[in-house]
Amino acid sequence: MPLINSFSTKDIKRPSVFAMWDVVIMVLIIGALFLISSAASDMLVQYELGDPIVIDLSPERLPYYALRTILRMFIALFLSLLCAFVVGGIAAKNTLAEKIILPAIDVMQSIPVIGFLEVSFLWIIAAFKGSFLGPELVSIFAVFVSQVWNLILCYYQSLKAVPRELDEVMRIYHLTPWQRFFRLEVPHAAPALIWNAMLSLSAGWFFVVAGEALTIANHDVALPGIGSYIAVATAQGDFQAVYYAIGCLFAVIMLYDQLLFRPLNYWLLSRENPGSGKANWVYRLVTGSRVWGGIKRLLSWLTQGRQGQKKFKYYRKKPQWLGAALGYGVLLWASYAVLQVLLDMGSVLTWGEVETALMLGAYTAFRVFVLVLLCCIVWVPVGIYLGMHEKASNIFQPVIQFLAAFPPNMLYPLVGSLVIAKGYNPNIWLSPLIVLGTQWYILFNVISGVKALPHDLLMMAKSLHLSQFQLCKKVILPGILPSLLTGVITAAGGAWNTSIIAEMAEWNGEVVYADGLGAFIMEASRNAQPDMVCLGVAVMCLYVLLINRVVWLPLYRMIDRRYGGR
Amino acid sequence: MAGPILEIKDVKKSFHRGSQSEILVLDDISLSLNEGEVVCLLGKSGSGKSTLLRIIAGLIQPSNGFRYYKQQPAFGGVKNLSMVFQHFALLPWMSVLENVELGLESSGMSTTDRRDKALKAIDMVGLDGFESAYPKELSGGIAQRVGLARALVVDPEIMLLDEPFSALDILTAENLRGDLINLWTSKKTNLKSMLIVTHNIEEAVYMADRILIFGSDPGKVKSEMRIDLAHPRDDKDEEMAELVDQVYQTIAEVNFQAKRAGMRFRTIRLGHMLPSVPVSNITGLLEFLVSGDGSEHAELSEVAEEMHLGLDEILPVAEAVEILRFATVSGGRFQLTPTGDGFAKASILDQKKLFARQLLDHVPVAVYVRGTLENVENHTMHESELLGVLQEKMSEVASRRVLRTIVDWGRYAELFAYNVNSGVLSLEDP
Repeated sequence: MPLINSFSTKDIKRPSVFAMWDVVIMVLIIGALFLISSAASDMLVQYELGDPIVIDLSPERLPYYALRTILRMFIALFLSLLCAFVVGGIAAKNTLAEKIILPAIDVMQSIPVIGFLEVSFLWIIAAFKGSFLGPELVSIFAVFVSQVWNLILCYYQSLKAVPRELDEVMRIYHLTPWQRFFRLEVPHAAPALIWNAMLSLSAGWFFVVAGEALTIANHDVALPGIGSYIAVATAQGDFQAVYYAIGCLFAVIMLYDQLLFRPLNYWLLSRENPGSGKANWVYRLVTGSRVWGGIKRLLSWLTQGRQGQKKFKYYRKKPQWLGAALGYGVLLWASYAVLQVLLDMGSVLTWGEVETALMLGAYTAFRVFVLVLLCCIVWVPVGIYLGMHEKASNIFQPVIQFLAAFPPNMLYPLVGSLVIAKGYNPNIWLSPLIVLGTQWYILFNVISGVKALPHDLLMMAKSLHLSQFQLCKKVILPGILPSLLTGVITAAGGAWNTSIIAEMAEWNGEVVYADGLGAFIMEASRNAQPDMVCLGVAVMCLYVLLINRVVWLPLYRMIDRRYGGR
Repeated sequence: MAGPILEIKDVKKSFHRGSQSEILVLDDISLSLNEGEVVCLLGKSGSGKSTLLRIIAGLIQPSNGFRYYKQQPAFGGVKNLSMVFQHFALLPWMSVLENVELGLESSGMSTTDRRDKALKAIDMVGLDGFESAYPKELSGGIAQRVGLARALVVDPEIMLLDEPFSALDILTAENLRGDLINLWTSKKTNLKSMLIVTHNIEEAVYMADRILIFGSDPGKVKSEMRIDLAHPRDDKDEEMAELVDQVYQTIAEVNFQAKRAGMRFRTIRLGHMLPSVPVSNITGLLEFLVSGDGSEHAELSEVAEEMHLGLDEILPVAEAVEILRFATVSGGRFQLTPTGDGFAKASILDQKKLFARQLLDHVPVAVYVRGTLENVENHTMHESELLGVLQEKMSEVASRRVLRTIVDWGRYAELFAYNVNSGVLSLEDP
């Protein structure tokens, strides 16, 4: 009930007008359920590693493939949210678990997602031997890993930020943990969680596409989906099919943007300041229908505990040992796994290989640095302009949001074909691909930073007759530094992640690699050298962690203290 | 009636600091709520009265002591008790009606019964018409009425109110106070007793049948006063004004009685919790005392009113001027010292010099910082060093507050400089 009732009801027309829409919505819902169940049943068919999976490049098959891809996305999102509620909840309420979970997440976040994929692949396939669910899970796992840490942190922070008085209201009126979860904890976390989930979904397209078609240990696994479709098209050098796939994904993301992103975005906005902005058409349609009223009542009934606690005890004499045991268990298991891997690697690897990996890591670091810098030079002025001009930003913001959601790896074949056909230097021409997807974070953050500047400051600048250049240098740039840095950190992190698939190009059976750690990992994985993959992933993890600790974190603290929070 | 409804005995509360040391927040408090009375707990903020209220509510466990509900030992929640919060504590994603219904959510009541009761409570506090509004749309006064309705909907015997009017503007607060007292006297509810925490003296005198004056460090009930005026009371009434003055006087005595005869000033140690008072308040007070009709005496309550300071704000300033030997407080009045008089009349530069001298003569923290800076080779010191010394005596939060205060004072007196980015204290910049 609370989750839903916060919708502002002002802009809803009389329900009678929408009676017809109710029928439409019912039909849509039933249709969607039918489609989902049929696609889901396809996920459970028999499969052995090595079985050929045929991807049909005829365009009629594309909608079905798209559906499979979408299904994977949402299963992953659902699992990550579930995980966020459980792990985030434990971390927020159990001090011992908190001490283990938070640093663990910090490390996990720095492990490249694609690296996870490479390492976990064989393990998952083995666990689901004989079922197609194995390969499916690998792909879902890639998306899951790309968003879960973020969502856990988000839910954890939100729980920690529950105002003390609200917590006391829950206790004074004897609400059960169940009621408390639905009345206080979830609604309180909802804005941050939804916003994060939306961003993760946007980023998720990238990983779902990357996770569908894998060449690992000499096995080609291609799950039915858009990602595989484009991979097969790339391998066969079929330009037309590549364009079909891009067009199809374009349409899918358009739908996602209209049907999900914007209504939710509007909901968040209207919750912040009721009655502001124009409601998205889907939002109006759904909240105006009777079906919606029914769903609301159902939710309210489901979330309502039957009976309150008879009495509340003094605050939380929770069994701390439970969380502690869980935490230490995980920690022990993780350190055992790491040790095992290190031992394995130690017996196989030579110092020369480690040195090579470290060297290549430096190449990739340099590549990331240069490209992020280039992005700043391009996007900071654009962002400042858009932030200062309401009209322009109203037009371009949705376009940019759309572009940000579009997975850049869909465009790799086009660039790759060019590099291979013309024989361009891959070290230079493949480099821009690693920031293709993550550059938008810089732009977004600059725009929101400019918009958040205190109006007084701009008025002051105006009254002093500062020139445009002076205004940027003295007022705007220092003012947006904290948000710019946030954007840069996110973009750089994403670029590391992307490097694994972006430092390689494939077209019509030919493959070229750039010099870099990402290419190192990819090559090792294609050549079935699990030790080298582990080495590459470990070195990348090391680089990311080190750069975070030594460069970004101190810089962020310093800048936030000096320029942040007026 | 057979004794108090709710009672606490010998309650102590201390918080752990680090591994060994503890900070005593509440010391040996006993109090009782009797049937048919409104009790006000009056004291400055940070004195632990909110903590005490939460112990009474059963939200926090005391370190020591007992709690009885109708003569039975009680731990944790009590059924017929509700609470009104300083910042209303409404759930922003629920409408007014849903917020009020929340009070009954755990009762196991049917949805329709719940709605009926909630509507009745909303009606009682004069909120009809606002049922479907969301907290964001409400003004403070209306929001607090929702808080009140939620507290009343459970049909409580005891209502605890934590600074219920302090987040409201003066007129709204007055209005709501009047309505609450009307509700109380009308006997429309099942309420048997109310406990109001406040730092507003007029409010306490207006509402209470009994005022408990609370002192700090550690929190303790220092004095008790009965107010035997009939409700509703009139702010303009002479008797009221007299009572207000009386309370002021008592508070001043309670807060400043630490000084023994013959020792007119407060001499403090290094570990003293310096009052968080900006220099501007100190200079403002002194200049006001000089200007006040040429007289060098002024009543605490008068000064507070003239300077637009609450009880909360005037007491720390009073403590600061005493520490610096600029003035003394006795019998609820300020008295300027010759130093203070000289200070108020001096030029800005001379004021700074005088301030520096007083700091070095009477404030050990200032002496410590200045002394260290002069003796070390590069004339700098990191804040952590000072914080470490302070934290032997007080909590981390308090030590940071002392640091901020001494930095403010030291900067004004040009005794030392401080870089907020690096946390480095140094001798005055060249």
